Amino acid sequence: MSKNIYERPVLRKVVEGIPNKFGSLKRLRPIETIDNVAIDDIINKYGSPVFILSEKTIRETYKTAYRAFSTRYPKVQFAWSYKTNYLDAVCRIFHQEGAWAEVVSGFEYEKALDNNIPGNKIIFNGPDKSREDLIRAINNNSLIHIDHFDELYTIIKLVEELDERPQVAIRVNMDTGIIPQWDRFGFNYENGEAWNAINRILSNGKIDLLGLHIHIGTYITMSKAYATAIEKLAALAAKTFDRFQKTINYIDLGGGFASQNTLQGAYMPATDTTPSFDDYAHTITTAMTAVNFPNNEMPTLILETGRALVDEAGWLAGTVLANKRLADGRRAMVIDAGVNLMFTAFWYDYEIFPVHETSFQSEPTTIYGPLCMNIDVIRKNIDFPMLNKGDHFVIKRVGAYTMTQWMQFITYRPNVVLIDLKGEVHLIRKQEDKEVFRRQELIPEYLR
Amino acid sequence: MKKKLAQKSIYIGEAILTSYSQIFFTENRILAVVLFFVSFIDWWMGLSGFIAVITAIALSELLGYSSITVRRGLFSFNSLLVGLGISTYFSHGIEVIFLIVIGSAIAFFITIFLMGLLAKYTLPFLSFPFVLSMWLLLLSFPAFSGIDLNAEALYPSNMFFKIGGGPLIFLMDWLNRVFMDTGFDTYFLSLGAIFFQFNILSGVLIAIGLLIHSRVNFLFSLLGFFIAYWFYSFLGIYTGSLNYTYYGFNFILSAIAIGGYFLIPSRQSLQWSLLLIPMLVVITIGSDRLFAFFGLSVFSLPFNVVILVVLYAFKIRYNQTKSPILTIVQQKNPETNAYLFDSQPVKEYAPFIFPIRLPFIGQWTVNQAHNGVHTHKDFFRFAWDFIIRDTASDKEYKNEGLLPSDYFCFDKPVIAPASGTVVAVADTVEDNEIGVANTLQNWGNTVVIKHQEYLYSKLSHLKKGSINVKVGETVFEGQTIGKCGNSGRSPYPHLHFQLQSSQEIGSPTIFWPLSEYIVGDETKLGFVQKGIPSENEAVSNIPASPLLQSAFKWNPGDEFLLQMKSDKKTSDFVIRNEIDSYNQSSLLCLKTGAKLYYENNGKTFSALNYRGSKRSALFYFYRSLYKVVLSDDSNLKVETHFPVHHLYRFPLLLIQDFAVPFGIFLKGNYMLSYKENTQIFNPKQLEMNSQILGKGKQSFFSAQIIVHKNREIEIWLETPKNLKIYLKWENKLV
Repeated sequence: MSKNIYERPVLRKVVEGIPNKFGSLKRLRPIETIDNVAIDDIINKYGSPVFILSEKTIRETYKTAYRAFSTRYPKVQFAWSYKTNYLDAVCRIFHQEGAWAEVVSGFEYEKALDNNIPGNKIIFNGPDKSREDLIRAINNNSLIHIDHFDELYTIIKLVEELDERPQVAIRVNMDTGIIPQWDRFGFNYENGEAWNAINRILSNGKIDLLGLHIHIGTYITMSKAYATAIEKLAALAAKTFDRFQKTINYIDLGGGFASQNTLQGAYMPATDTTPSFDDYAHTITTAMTAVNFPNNEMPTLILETGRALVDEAGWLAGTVLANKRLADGRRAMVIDAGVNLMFTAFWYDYEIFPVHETSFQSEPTTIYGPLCMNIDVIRKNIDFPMLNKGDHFVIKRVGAYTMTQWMQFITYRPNVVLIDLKGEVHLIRKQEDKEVFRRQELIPEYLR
Repeated sequence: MKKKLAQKSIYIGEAILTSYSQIFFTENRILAVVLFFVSFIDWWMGLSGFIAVITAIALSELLGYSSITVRRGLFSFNSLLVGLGISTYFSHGIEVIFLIVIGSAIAFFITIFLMGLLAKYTLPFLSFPFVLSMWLLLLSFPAFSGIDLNAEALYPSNMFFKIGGGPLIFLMDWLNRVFMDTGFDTYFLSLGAIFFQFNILSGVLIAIGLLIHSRVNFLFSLLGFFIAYWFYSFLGIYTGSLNYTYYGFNFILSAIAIGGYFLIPSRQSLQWSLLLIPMLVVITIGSDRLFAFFGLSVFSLPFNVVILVVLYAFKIRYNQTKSPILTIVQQKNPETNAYLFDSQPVKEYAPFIFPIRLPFIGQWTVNQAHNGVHTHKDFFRFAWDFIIRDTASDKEYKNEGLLPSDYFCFDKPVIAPASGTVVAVADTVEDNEIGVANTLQNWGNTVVIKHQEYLYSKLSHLKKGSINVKVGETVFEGQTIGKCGNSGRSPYPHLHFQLQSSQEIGSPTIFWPLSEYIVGDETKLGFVQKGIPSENEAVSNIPASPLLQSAFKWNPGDEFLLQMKSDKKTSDFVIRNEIDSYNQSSLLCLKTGAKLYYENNGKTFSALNYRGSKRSALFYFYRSLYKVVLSDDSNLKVETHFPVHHLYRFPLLLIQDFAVPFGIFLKGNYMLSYKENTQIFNPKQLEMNSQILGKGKQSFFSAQIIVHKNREIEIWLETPKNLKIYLKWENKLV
């Protein structure tokens, strides 16, 4: 007979709900493997914490999303939003699946070129494009999505110097019923700025206006808002055709599809509330086919969704550092991954699982990261089984915005590994060490 | 007025000449002139034939029949035979001319009547009118005891002496001696007998004419005749009887008709034409004995009967894609038919011209194809079931697949596979639960679209309430008509797609291939020009290129300037886009009269044939842009055969002409590849490369093509002889 696991005594509030013959036990099932690879093995080999990406999930998610749109609308193109996760390996998987690149800075632009994406398949977004960035983008026939008039003026000036015709679209913002209304990017529709921008571009005669771009917000759970946006864009396209006999070649609906991570304060778990790709696709393609684009020309539909494509594929595995009891008697657990790695923990209630079965009992727990900062909270309150120091945990759905928004703060950033389709683990980003930072830093002579 | 008269006389002249050559199923001028000349070896016979032809043409003009048919000699060739026939019986005289006019008129009216009768079965009337009218006349002849019989034909040497004197007699004697007892004497006599010329010289002249017109026909005439000749001796019948019954031409004509004319000349047509000979021999002997009772000759009756019944048997076949393949469009001669047929990308589906495409957006998978194991049997064997399958997991549903909405195809748009009119809609059948099949309302919610007469498409098992078209509504290709559902006999959501020949829901399926689609994913593009998607194939429609579509969309009457520049000179050709009464589009070079026949089905531009001067720039245009799929997919590669008679010249081509019934050994492989565009949206131009390779990768020429957004086309050609040509195609109005 094996020795029973030691369980500390617990104090627990009675959980409401109808008891059945199993009682009202709330229990987190451990997650021991990802794509049949033991998490323990990964931690043992690559250290703790460690980001784990599943190639299988990435490809499956992409295929689901692409299928949802491409079987409903004849011309669909996805562009991988670099800022969501620009690890080269991840980008290349999306590119292999057929996605173009959507970048928002010169840095991301260079990354896209390095990932062998031809210039004409790069969509250049964002409010910060330097003159040099624009020159390169124009020469490469990239699709430049103009964000403001100052950028437009730069382009108009550049036209005189360069041989290539800039291939542009304008970013439009509008009231689609979403609150908050994102009006800081692009030209506003209601106040006429967008129309003004179109006039300036087409009157110039040396710039090709190809598309209209809109990004109505992020984590949009109301798929109807996209339909409103499409109607307004179609009206703009019709107006453009009336005045300039120029049809719009594509409509870029940006991203903003919600992933299945639950937002803090949400009443229901996101897995029950977020629309699926099919829901988004249905609303968007129905609206695209219902509205009349001028000259009966169906524009290509471009989607830059990032979060919903990669969130599910990312995992963060780590180790419990300590347990403690707080002043009010609440239990607290310190783990080795904090907001330095998961900036996103500020708005998500991440799902955390133990890697092994430890106890059948769970207790309301606050989970803290390892930083010596008060703000370093991963979960304020979660019913969590009692893990001991050295036990492993894994956090689900961390593929989006973690590996790009992470900070080098207090400690180094860890290894990132990718499990390929055959179940082999590849290191795709090495953990940092002091040499990385020493290389960057310069010490003035007098301080040596 | 003068011009009008000139036009009219050219028209009449053509009609007269083709009346002669039409007897050999052709409008070839050279053969026509030879035959015309042969008929005048005896001036009286020639004149009789001529009068008969004039009579028939006059009658068809009087009645206002189609000038195209008149010009092709179809109304008059039977009269011509009657005229020739009468003159062999009676010596010249005014009353005989009167008789010829009457005979010609009888043949003419029988022609009109039989034409109408047989057209319903798309069968030719052949020389039935001649046979029928000749019999009627023959039966009446004994009453005309006052008219002199024609004795000339009985004493041919007298006749030849009158025409050519000593040398001609000598020539005839020499010919007789050379071919004596070789069988060739009978062959030439039989050929001559077609024109009631019972002498070797006529036969030799006709054979030469036939050879000039078509090597295949010449070969078939020999084969047909000598197989019969051999068969006669095999059956123990005196072969000499062919000499005085003059029935030999029946074998010649049927071998030509089946081997080279009504069928595409090939090994199969050869086999068929040879198979028919024994039948023909027996029928000839039998009918000869029967008609001997009435004192009548059977003339070409055996040939007529056999061809008519065999042709009917060929045409009534359900599956026209299997050999023997019938000739749909008659070209210049049989070898041209064979070469053009061979140059099509999917030969067996040549009769299915109207393009039907996939009825959905994106990539779907064939779940049940033709002759499927579940339900596509018997009447419904030419149907497809489509579903959407996840390429990674190979599943067609998410979750457990217990709800219709778990299935990837459920609620996805279904589009019209081609333009047409909605003729039937059912939209009130509930969608089934998974695993349940509603066999009472077998087809569930269904839309039937009429595309052409006898061509309807049916889309079934749609989602209840999703159909957004009404009966009587016209739909365009690609228009959403409803959503995929699970109604009717459908245990799992899927789309049933079939083509049928009537508008009722529940009609049996018909065989019809689908056009321009892609098998597999975009990375390895398996482009299919025309085909039958088979089970488990993942298929999608090919994306169209608006730039190419507009560049190749020409209206009748549009004129273009085709400029040709080589090292030495620059020349301009004006090209006019035309459409004829058969709805056949063509480009006409106004300078040389050369014509490029083409077809544009919306997704493919195909050159069909080129006729006329090869010095026109249009000829290079034809070679470079022989087949263009109007898509801008850079992975696309168009590959097809190129007609070899537009590639090879004298010695090789001549050998090939003779070898056509055994196979086409000359190679011409046309290839077109597309260059990836630097500007994906709103491209200014599209670059393509075309090339024609012969045997062993021998290059005939290569071309670099740029199609501009303003519909101009530029072509840089290079031939192996290092001849560099630049072509520019632009709209003349601009």
